Amino acid sequence: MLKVLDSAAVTVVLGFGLTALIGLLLRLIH
Amino acid sequence: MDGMLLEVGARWLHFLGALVWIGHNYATAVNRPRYVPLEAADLADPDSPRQQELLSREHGTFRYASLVTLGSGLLILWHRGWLGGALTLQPGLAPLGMGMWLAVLMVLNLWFVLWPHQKRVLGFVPAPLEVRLRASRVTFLSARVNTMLSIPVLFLMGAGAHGAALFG
Repeated sequence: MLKVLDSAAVTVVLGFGLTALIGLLLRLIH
Repeated sequence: MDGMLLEVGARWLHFLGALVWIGHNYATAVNRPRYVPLEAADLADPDSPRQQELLSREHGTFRYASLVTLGSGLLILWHRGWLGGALTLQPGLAPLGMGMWLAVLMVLNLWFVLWPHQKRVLGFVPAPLEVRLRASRVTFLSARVNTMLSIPVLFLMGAGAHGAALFG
């Protein structure tokens, strides 16, 4: 699964996705 | 005045440390967008171009920059009396706190996953060739995980001052 990180572009896209998820989580907990 | 000077100094170090540390990751992502596995021949010969290249990039600056970044960030939070609230993700401080927890994870990843493996890859710690080759994969993935985590961390650092409006 970590193989997706072989690509820098996919790493950056995942970073943006994670940002959105964390933002959602923060809105949910407060 | 003294307190303000301390905070401005800590903020400056925080930005500077983060740029040096994560800049290193971003430079690698730009220069080496796809994973290129090390070959046994690269590691067997200490004078191979690939191993020399790895050694020339091993200067420790970015590892210590991670400590400066984390230390200065904690100092700012402590100085403002926000440390406890951020640690426990209290309303208003949750974005900064979440960013801080992710950054702690990144520092732990760097010092306790990447660096011990990198020492094997570079031969600072003796290990059989197969172990060194496996370790080189771990160092790559560990660095990429930090690159990925840096994106939400930078957002949360930026959202810090205005995070309350965004996240309540």
